Amino acid sequence: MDILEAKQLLSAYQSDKDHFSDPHMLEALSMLENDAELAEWFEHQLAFDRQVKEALRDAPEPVGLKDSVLQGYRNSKRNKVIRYVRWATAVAAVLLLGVGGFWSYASNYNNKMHEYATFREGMSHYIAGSYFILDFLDTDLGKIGHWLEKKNSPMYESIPALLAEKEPLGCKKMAWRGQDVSLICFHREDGKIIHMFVAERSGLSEEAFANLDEVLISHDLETGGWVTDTHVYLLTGSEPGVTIKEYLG
Amino acid sequence: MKEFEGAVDQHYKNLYYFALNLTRNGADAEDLVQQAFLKLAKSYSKIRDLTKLKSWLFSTLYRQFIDQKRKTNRYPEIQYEETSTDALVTEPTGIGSGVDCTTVLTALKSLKESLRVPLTLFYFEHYSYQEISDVMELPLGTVMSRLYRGKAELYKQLKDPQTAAVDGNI
Repeated sequence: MDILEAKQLLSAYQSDKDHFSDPHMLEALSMLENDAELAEWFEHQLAFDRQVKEALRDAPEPVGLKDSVLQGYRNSKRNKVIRYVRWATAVAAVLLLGVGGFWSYASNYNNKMHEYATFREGMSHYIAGSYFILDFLDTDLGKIGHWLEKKNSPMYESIPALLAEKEPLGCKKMAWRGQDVSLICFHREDGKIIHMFVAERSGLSEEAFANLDEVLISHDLETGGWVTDTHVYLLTGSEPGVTIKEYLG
Repeated sequence: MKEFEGAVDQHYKNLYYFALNLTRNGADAEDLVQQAFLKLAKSYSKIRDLTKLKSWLFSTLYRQFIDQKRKTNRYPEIQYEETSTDALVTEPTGIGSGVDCTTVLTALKSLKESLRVPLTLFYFEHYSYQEISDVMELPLGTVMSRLYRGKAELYKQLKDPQTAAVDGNI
């Protein structure tokens, strides 16, 4: 280490700090023992540092700064709360609009099914575009029948054999053009669903269930049914391509 | 809140003088201190080692100053001829006992930023050259060299401020 390097290091010497862990500083300090000129320079250096530090110790407190820092902190916290409330309100409004919009759409859509003159078109319209929830969920057909009876919803007389083999999902009581209609859903092995609608014949006009035994596509869904002395039945697939013909018996 | 108040209480004064020596303007210095503490309020939970809070504050404030300087070009550098670095050796009589805070602050203000910053940390904060290197993100050798030259300049300013001002066109 030469004299200039030693001076640069000793310039960084802090008299109130422990420099024992700094080998470079220790080396520079050791040079003081053999170099009187450097030692004298270092003494002046320390005296100068002491004077400057003492003078700066009297630096006055900056007036009002502490209060304004704390006030700024309080304001930032308050603004954070306000921002959070605004954000939560915006999210709530969006959710409300979304739910309201969906409810309004679903309500309008379902109302439209009453405009169709035939049972086939009305029911397939309902399945094709409506999001609905079953009123009663159970895989036991007996319990489903019991629920329909209890609700005074049209009760099926019998179910075609192949359809009865499928696992039921549940049922729903609904209305079409002022008449009660029962909907019973069955699960196929491939995950698709077959819907069976049941209405009382006496409540419907002859035109409403004309040609129901023909398998036809209505609202992109395969549909077909049968009529007994007292009831009208309609099967629809849950989505386009789901066939129902084999379940008609 | 109490922890934050404690941090403000402990560091706001020294931060202010550090900022004042950076900006050489009281209002700008106060703004920098405010910003540093607001940043602290946002990051308080992220600071794992609270023993390093002081160095975090000084580093943050210094970085803010550098950013503002880059963006606004508001703090032009002082142009003057540097003093011989042997000044302290050739002046064994020292600067006399009459030197006070205002005189030292004025003398510090007149130095180049590159010398003013390490000197402020050295004298106000009693920082080691390793700590100064951390705050300023400079190599240790550069910090030592700047302290050495900075002290020579400061000595010259304090010894004879009028001559220094004429020499340096301050």
